[in-house]
Amino acid sequence: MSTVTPTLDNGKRSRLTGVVSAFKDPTTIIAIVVVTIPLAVMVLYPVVNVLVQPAIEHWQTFFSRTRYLTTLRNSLVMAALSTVSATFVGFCFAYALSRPNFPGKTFFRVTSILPLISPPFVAGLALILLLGRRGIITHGLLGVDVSMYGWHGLWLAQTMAYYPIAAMTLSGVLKSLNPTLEYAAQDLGQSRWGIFKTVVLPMTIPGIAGAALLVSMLSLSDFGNPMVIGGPFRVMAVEAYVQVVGMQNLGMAAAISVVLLVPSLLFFLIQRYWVGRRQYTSVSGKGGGLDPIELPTAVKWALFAFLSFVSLFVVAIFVVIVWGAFARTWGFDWSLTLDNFEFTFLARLGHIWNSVRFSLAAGFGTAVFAVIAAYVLLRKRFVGMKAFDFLVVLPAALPGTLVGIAYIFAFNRPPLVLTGTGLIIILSMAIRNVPVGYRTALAGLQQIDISIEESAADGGANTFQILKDITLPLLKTAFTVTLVYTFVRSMNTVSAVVFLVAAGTNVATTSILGLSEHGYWGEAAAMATILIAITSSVVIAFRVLGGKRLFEL
Amino acid sequence: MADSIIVPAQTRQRSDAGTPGSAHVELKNLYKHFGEVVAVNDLTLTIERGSFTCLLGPSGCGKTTTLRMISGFMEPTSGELLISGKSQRGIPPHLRNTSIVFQEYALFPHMTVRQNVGYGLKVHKTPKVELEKRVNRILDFIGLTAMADRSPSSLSGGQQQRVALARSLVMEPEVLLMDEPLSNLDAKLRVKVRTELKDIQRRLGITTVYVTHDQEEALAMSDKIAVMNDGVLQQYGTPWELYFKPDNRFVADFIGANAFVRVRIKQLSEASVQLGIGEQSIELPRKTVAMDVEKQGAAAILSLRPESIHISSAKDGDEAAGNGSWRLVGTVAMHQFLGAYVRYWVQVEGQEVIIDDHNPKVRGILSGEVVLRLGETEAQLFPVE
Repeated sequence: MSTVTPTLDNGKRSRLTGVVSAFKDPTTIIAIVVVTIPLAVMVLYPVVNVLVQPAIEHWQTFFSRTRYLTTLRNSLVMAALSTVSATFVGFCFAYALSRPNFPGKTFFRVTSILPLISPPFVAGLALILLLGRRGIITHGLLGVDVSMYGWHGLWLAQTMAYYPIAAMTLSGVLKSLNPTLEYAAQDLGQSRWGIFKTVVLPMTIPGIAGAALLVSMLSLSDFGNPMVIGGPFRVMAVEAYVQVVGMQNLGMAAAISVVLLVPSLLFFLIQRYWVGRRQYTSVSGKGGGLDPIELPTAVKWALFAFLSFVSLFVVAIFVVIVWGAFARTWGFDWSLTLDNFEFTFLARLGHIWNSVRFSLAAGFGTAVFAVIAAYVLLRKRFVGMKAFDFLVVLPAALPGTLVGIAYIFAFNRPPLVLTGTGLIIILSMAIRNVPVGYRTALAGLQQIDISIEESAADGGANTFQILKDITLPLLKTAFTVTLVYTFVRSMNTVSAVVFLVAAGTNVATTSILGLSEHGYWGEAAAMATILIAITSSVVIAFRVLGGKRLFEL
Repeated sequence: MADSIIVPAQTRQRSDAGTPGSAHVELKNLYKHFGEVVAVNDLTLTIERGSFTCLLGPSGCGKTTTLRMISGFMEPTSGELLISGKSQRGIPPHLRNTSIVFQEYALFPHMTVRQNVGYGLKVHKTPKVELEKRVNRILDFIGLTAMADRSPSSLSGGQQQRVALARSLVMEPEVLLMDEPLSNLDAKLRVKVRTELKDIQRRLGITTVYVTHDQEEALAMSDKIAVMNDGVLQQYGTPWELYFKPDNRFVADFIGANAFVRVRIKQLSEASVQLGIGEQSIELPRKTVAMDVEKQGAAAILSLRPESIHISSAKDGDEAAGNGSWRLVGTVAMHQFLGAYVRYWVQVEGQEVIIDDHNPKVRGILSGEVVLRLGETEAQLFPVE
């Protein structure tokens, strides 16, 4: 989900990295073990556990009962719809913002950050408050009686929740295109529409495919929005939850999560082995200070109108959440009150505190682990490097639902009993952010010339000393980015933790879902407001303190 | 001005279809502002038909901006730009009879070499048969027929550069524009490719405007060079003129190596000017002085080319130094033996003069007190800035 996705190319890596032989320097072996063992325990062990769980009859039931086949179809249809719409909207944002003459860029950038730093289901929650049966627009303004529950509401919510991720990915791709190519085409007589069609679009297609795959995976594994707004339109993530919580049928839940894994893993592999090799990054320079070619006036204003519409919708989502937090009874009594916050502070403060401390722990853990993993891969040569790399990024392919259910199976019996602890939640949060942190650290490390480390080695320092004195200080940026990124994402995560929380370890997101499930809109909105306030403060503080761009187009 | 100068023979043999030497691209009082910054300041320049003209200067001097104005990617803030006598104001790049080759080649990575070269013709809806004929002809001309169906990324830097050139040439432009086309190549290849480029240009006789910051490249390729600095044209002339008759200190400094010595004007007459360097003095003919020498006692800068000074050991007497018309005495501070020549840093009255001895075998490496002698027409006098 990061904008930086450096690809590994073993052929290009300097032969010098092999100078330190694994046998002469035991730290290499130790480092590999330190990275591999936790991944084996936290990823492979639970996944294998869940894979062997469903019995034959679970599979027979799944593939014969309409109930399950419908949820499968619903999940796939919803993923397809949301992918098309979110990628389209994201492309419009990224393309418009890459043009020099597009007005209001800052506004569009800022509004697109909001969905990225808040729980995805905020979109669903807000849609109910805006357009639902008691919605401020539908009921309050227009006096019509419509329901947002169902596939259309879910589609809208997912589009709003995931278009910024598509935009962020595509923005990176469009920025890497050399504007000189557009000028060359123009010089040869091509029109602006022709340039878009024959130069920009063909070169962006791998990026569009990458963004689409990312959105598909997110939509497939989304739990919050279907829970809040899906209503009768049940998807697999929700069905798995119902099986666990409502029916205590863990075998069926395992089968569902494995079915969910198949497309997710497939998309992941396509992304890794097909899209990743078809990126057209410019060989040199940024076109000598040339800006990309300007948009034609009509296109500019058409895009401006479209982006404004989307952005105002985003603003409306967040305004209505905050408003909902202060409204006495949404849909009936719009007067302002602090009751909802009072409830939160009296009854749910512990959940918020849990979110904060678990996310913080996950952030630190992920950052340390990701930096070590990236360092090992980039600076050491050993047999099985490709497998190592694959293992580290594999968690990106795992739907949250699968992680949650797999952890139930893996850690409620010896040798590792973690059920009901905070640690299991922290681990589930951390593991899912390792791939992004690892890629960020790789990108950071690739900028550090190996010769700096070699000169330290020349001066007699061993691997550990080099790591401590040279590499770690240089990796500070990658470390803090991963820390903040993981913190924000963990604060907002729901699909895995919903299976893992216990009475003492409930977190804010699951708490909000529970409230909205029972129609406590005001209380849910108040908690969501607090959650968003925390994450946005962290992101703003990080930016102000000189951190690099995060969650930005 | 150009008549009295010896022009290298090769540049005279131009095969030009039009009227060689007539004005082709004319810039008249051209200005380009970027906010407060004046990127191009009152530029007036006439580029001759069929010529190879370099815009030369350090980065930020306005040379690339000028090229972009000729190509049509930028509109001048004010002034006139004519191509073949026609004003180009408001004419977009693709409607001008120019074609540009970019520094980073700008080849389309998702197309083959053939598709790249044929792109412009396809845009102009050239019939398929003719398109193929022209593409094949130009690929043959640049010697890349064998690479036609490969992707640009599988080609070497020099080959990519030739494809970019072919993509421009196939459009048969009147004026070919090149923006530092060799700067992405390594030093050795650069020399090779610049010879090829120059050869292609001469065979086609196409008017070419070439932007570079590399003075050696400019000297080697150009019929005319326009030296620019801070958006202002410093001098426009043949390589010969720029090297031996620089109009100002900037040009003298930018092209070739130069030693600048602070001098005092001691005496002025109709025919000559006498200069003092510390305790020593020399005399120059008045006509070689580029500046308006105002008055006696004024300070000035004497510009000396390292290779035009003869150096000999003071012990050997003046005759050994050759027949220079004036003479200075100094002390060798440092030397570097560079094979073909020895470079000396000589202290003369507390100032440093660089001297290249191209005949080290004759005199060996000199040290201690030396005598410098110079032909009277080989020094330039500039005002102090």
